[in-house]
Amino acid sequence: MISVERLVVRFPGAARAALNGIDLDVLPGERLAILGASGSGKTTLLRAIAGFVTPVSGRILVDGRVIDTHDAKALRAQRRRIGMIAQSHDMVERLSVERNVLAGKLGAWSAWHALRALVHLTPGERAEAKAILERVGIGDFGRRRTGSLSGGERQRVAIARALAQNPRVVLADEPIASLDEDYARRILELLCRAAEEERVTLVCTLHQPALAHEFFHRVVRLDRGSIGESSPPLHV
Amino acid sequence: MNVLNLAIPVWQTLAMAGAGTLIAVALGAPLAAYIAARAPGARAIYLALGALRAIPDLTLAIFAVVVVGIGPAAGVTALAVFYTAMVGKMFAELLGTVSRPVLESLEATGASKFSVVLFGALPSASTDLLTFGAYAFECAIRASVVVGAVGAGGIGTEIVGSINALDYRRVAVLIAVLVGIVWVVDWFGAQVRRQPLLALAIVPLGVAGLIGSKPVVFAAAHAVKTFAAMWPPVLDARALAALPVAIFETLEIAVVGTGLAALFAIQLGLIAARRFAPAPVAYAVRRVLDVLRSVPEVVVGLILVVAVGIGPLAGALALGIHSAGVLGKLFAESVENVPVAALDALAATGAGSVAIATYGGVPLALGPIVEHTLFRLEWNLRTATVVGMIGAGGIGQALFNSQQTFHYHEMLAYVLITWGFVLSAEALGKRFASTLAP
Amino acid sequence: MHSSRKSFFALAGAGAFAAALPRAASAADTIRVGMIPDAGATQVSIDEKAPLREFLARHMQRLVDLIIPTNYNATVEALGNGSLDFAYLGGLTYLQAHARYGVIPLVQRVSDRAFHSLFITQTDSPLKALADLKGKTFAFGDVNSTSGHLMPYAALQAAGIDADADLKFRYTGSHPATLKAVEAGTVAAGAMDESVYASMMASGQADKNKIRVFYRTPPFLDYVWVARKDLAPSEQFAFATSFLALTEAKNKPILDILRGTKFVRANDGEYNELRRIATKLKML
Repeated sequence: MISVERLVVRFPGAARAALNGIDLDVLPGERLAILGASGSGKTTLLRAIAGFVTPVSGRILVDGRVIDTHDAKALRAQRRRIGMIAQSHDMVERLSVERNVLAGKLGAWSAWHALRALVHLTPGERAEAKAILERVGIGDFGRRRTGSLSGGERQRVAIARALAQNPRVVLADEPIASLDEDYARRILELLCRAAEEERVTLVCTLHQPALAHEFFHRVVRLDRGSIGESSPPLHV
Repeated sequence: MNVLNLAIPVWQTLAMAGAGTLIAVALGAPLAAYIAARAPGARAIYLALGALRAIPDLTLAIFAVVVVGIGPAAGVTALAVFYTAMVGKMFAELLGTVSRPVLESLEATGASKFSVVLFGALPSASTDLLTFGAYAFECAIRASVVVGAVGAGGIGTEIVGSINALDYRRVAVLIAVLVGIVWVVDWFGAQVRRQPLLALAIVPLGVAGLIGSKPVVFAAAHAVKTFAAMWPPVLDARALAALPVAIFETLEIAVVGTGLAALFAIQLGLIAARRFAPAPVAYAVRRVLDVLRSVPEVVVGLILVVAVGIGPLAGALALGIHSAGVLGKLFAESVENVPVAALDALAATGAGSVAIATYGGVPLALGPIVEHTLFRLEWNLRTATVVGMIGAGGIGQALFNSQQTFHYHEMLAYVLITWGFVLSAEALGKRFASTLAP
Repeated sequence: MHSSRKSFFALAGAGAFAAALPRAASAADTIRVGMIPDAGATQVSIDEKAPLREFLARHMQRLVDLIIPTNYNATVEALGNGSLDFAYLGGLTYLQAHARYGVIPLVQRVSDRAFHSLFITQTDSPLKALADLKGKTFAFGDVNSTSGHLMPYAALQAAGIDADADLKFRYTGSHPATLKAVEAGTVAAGAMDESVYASMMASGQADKNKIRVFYRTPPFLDYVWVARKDLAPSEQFAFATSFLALTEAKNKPILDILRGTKFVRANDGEYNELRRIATKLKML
């Protein structure tokens, strides 16, 4: 589903490459956890897959098609299939929860549709947002202002937004950072169950080896921009 | 002087400013979204907005007369064009301040740049946008004082007429009314900061203003012909020879004016800050600053021309007096934001409040004070060309005179020179700001 | 150039015909009159000018909109695109409007036919003649003013003074401002309209003990009421005859608003001398 081939990423002025020749294949429906310390390149790898980072060399294929950051139109089409859950679960704080969930459909909407949805949501759209929110356990939160939510609640909204996108691939960047272990486990359960149900490929960066091995098919470790040890792939 | 006599110009001023601001926001917001989305040609639009801002208000108003005829419509059009440029530019900058990760997370869904700006940047910056909209309205009220000259009426026309008639009592009353209006609008702006949706109250005012200022004609073909005839810009030998002096005078007006303003503003700002002076004194100085701030430069200039005569000094003083009000308020806020602990340390040495203010307040707030002053200098470089038209000299006067005598080729040349002025002042301001930024 | 006399008779005929037709005043019929307040006139609240508007409305059987711009340039452009039907212009502005947009002169006050500019200075100043002004500071009024700029400029030139080279001059923007600048001593001398000078002296707005006149220009033509080029002749006629019918016995309040005693027909040909001067000085 995802093929990363000899990927090298170097940021301007940086002493060493952020990603230094990464090779990685993720199978359709596989759940892959990436472990690594801060600065090991985990976030950069996810951002490169989503086309936010232009590699120095090497390439990335998603669903057989190359991610080309110079072809804006093709990149947008690729991104529609990739749901992204960012580390700081960046929400538009001033918008309601349901609008933030429906923001997942922004790639499929025209700018006019977006403007209309900003001012007014149809009953159908409301119902859709509610259904997705129910799946992440906060069905009644639709009308709330996103800025007023707690960290864990935001994480659920971020997952709901990714689900609203109907993606083939979900990239989750430390979705359980700053959550206590009990809550972290619930979020991971939610994320993995949704991935299972939707038959979505899930790539997730984590800090906690124990949780990684418990919830994911395969675990790889990133160290200073290179793939270190890797658990054997599981056939799914 | 009966009440109706005042009510009509007050209404004309509010209606003109309201209608102008409404159009400006309606046009400026999509332009800003376009610029913020970095769509093709965004840079060109951004530069064009800057060029529009280089045309003095009154010149714009006369251009508007060529298109929509004399009367309120011309005043509204001039304000709309000028503030569309201002709103477009500022909104684009405000949309640009929205946190990058939030926008990126929306881009990650495959959304177009426009959708991202609409769904992400617009709501995120909405408070700032509405606050700035209210501020633009306040500025438009001051500007309407000038553009009223094209038969749109309003307080400005009344003030000019009363000054020409040497009826200083009426001038004083009219200025008091203007100060009152600006106060109310200022108060309104403060409410908007707390409850941004209040800014929508300008909408009915703007709509009423628009209804009252229907264009008499719409002479599109005539306007195209007239504007095309202004091309190319030409300066004859005499005008070219006078150009260095004119540029120097404009610089002189701006620099001397800003310098004087900063000098007075430091002292007034320290007294006005709720920290050093006794509360009633601070309150009184604050109100004085409000008065200085609410009288537009051009009106100050018109009064000064009578009092101190014509020339760059009158222009510099006009900018200085108005800017002292603006800077005094900003300085007071900067000084108030200085950490209390630092000042307490000085107080512990037994220093008096004047010493604390001088050795503590000023040095600690120096960064913002310098920044505000430089921003004001940039602003005043543009305004120096505007007060030129009331006899202060410089490029502004040359531009105004060539327009008044229908030397439109020459006028266009001065507009372009002013544009160069405004652009370089902006670039200079940005440069200083970036050197100052930590 | 058209012949005023001939067109006036044409106007008269058309007017007589038009007057025979009864007309209802409707909003679409509104006549728009631009009236710039010449210096010294008190601004101009609408109610002050109301009698004039009512008078015109009655005579022309139309709704009249009185627009009071404070800028000549805007007024001329408004005549150019038809957003004003009639306007009151200074001599120089008339020439500019005539050259650009072919406006038609209709009527003027008797006093407009023999205007004078005055050169004023402080009582104790050594200035005696125009030639003494060399190297001095000087104030003109509005750049577009006939009596505050064009004619004084021409008078200086006739006296061998090139204002651009020999004077340090400024534009004050209005006649009263010029007088105040001279009174305050911020300039050595200035040029202004005779009638404004007289009225400021009479009303005490100027200090008799501080100001003296040291030169008076020869007479010249100044203010005039004009119509836009393509306005129906019947309208032009109705407007002109309204003004010509004003008498001090019957219409004192209106004449006071207009600051005149009697109106006469205006004629473009009579502006030729002014036109020659303006062209020579590159103001046209």
